[in-house]
Amino acid sequence: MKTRKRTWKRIAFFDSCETVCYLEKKAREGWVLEHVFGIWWTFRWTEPRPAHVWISYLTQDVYDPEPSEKLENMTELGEHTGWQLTVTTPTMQVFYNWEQTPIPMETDPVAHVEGMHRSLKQGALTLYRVLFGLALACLLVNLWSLLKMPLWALSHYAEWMLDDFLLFVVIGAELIPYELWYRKARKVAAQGEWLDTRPWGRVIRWVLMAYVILWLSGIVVTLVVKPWVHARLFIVVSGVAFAVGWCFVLWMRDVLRRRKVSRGKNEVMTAAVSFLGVMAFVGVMVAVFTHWNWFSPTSVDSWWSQYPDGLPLTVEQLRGEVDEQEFWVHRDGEESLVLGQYLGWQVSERETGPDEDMDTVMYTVTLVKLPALHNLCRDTMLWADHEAVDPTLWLAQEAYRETDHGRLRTYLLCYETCVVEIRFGWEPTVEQMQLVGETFGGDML
Amino acid sequence: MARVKFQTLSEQMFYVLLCLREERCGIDILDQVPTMTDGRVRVGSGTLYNLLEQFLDAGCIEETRVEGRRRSYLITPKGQEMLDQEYQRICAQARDYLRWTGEEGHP
Repeated sequence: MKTRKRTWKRIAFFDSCETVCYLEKKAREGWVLEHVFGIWWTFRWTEPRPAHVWISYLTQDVYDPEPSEKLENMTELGEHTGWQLTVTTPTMQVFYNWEQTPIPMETDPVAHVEGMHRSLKQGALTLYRVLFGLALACLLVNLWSLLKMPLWALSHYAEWMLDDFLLFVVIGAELIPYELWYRKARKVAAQGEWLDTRPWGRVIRWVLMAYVILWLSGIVVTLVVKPWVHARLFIVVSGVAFAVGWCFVLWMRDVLRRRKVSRGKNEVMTAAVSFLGVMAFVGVMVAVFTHWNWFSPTSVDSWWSQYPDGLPLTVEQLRGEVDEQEFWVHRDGEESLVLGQYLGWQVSERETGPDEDMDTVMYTVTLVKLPALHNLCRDTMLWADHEAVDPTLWLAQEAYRETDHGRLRTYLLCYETCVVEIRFGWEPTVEQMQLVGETFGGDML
Repeated sequence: MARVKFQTLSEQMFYVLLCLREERCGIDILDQVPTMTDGRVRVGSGTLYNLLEQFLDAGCIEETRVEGRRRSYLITPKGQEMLDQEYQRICAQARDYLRWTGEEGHP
């Protein structure tokens, strides 16, 4: 018969009532908690019988195998009234009492609430407050980017901003229920009553579940969207590898601590393994960037790969035969789930006079995947000094020309699936306008 | 509204401080409080731990001895003053009760 079993259980960091109920139920079924590592709980089989359980939240040194003086103090006091310390983790201690009607470990709600708050402040609570502050800062930076540079932000970081927002919600969902429970618990305790933590803890569980579902769905959707599938797949795989590596380091540290390895040795070994892991991770990242070219605009699955000549539109295609000369060609771009922005430049390196034409064409193609963003793209890209021109020449829905221009004639063209800003080193002819329309007027997505 | 810390003492706080008018360790307090109250009041070990920490922080008690894991405490003048204030408050309550209900305790 199995004498041990492992299960995963995610309980809010302050939800002692849920933990107690769960462990007391397990004890009646014959399972006593033996070890906790993160969300993995290990139980050992024993005779099924009722037990009373209590949880305390004294912070322990993550490397030191010996319990702290405070924990020793509490353990001695608990043993005097039949409470046995069964499991201890860096953030939580579990006491069992097998008597039928033991004296509870906590008999004063005020002392319990204040003691719990004091313990949590030294550990998880401070961490969550710091993370919440960081997440809020990220959110504000993202909001600022959206206001100041909406197209750049949406084309480069739309998914990351969504992820930042979801993380903010998740961290808030861990922290805010506790803060609300604590404030109410203090008032209730002043009247000699106890406040159950479970309603607040439940909020966290539901939010976390929703976050995991949304996050996994987001990954699937992101992988389906082209281009740069390899790059996105790499981000997901490297994220998973990082999480696995992190868990391994924490597990190794925990094993060393339980085997009573000295604090110094534990610290050194954990640091060494972490360092090697980070080096290996960075090495793989560098290889992917430089050797396989997965993040480059020239990679095989990028948006550019559909144009064998490198650019959708070239000076030669527009002007026909041109004088022999050197060109500087540049292409760049980024794409998200909602927007893509691609820059294509072909700039003549031949020197010309101020009134002469230049064999130069430069364009920015903004792919509008979400129709609701079309007007935002147009309004953001439109210049202060502009005039509307006949869009039919460009086979476009709307067309504008910049009136205050230098040597380059600049036009903004609105098509169904993209908005294009294009600059010519000469005055384009009607045939050239039509060629632009044929190139960008189709389905660019 | 949450009580201002130690403005009034709960029963457990009162008896812990009362116990510490003599030097005692935590286990002694756990045994002494039921003895003093004929079993009416019992202090949980976790509660005692929390109260000792809070009283130490507030300067109401001081640690006098450490023998292995066993630590002994004694009330300070500040703690004694707090105890006296609570006693005065309880007495005032008792007087008000007697005044308004008659000496026999009936309205």
